[in-house]
Amino acid sequence: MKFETSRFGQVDVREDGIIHIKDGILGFPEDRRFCLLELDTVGPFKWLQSLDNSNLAFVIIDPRLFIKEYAVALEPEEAEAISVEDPGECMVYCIVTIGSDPSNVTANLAGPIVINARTRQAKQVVLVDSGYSVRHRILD
Amino acid sequence: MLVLTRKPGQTITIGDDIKVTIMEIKGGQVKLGVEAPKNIAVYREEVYLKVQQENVIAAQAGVPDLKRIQEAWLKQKTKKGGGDEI
Repeated sequence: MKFETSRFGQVDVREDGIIHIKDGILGFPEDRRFCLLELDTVGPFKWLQSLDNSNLAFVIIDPRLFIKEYAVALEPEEAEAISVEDPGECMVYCIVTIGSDPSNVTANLAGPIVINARTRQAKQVVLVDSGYSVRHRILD
Repeated sequence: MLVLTRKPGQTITIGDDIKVTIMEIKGGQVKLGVEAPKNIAVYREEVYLKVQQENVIAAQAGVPDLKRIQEAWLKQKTKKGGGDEI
């Protein structure tokens, strides 16, 4: 299926490449269908592109690249919402915020996106008591 | 805004299936018990808002921004001796 995007032009996404985000990303409740794009990327960054809004995309990263022990404890209803049967089927990404100062690049560890790779359902989980920051610096 | 006065042990209901009970008032803090259907997410507002605000800022990233940080990431990795953690 073809989708228009403001950053990457037209992208072709297979049906099984569409990620359905339950309840949307906080602040963007209308956007439910996304895909992962690795266009033009070097290193560990990916794009999470909305398929419902051509302008909406987030830079994401696997947080375990800089915090090995990073873990998300899903509440039972959160696991159920994205049909998790085995924790191993989940991929976890954090959204990256790029500040105007080149070194001010942070990852939102308190609001990870958990994707069930098997069902392609996903959810932004808010880790309330984890002590994780919404702005964890990832560049020196 | 609707303002209601409640005592510990008393409840307010929102719609048919959300109940908020005042559990305890102590030292300037109020402990609330919330009963809501599973599909209703309940957060402390400040954490929820922080994540939401961060999402809105993060959504402004453009392709040139990512190019810039990729270079910085690779430089940092090289400096640290190849980034053995990756």
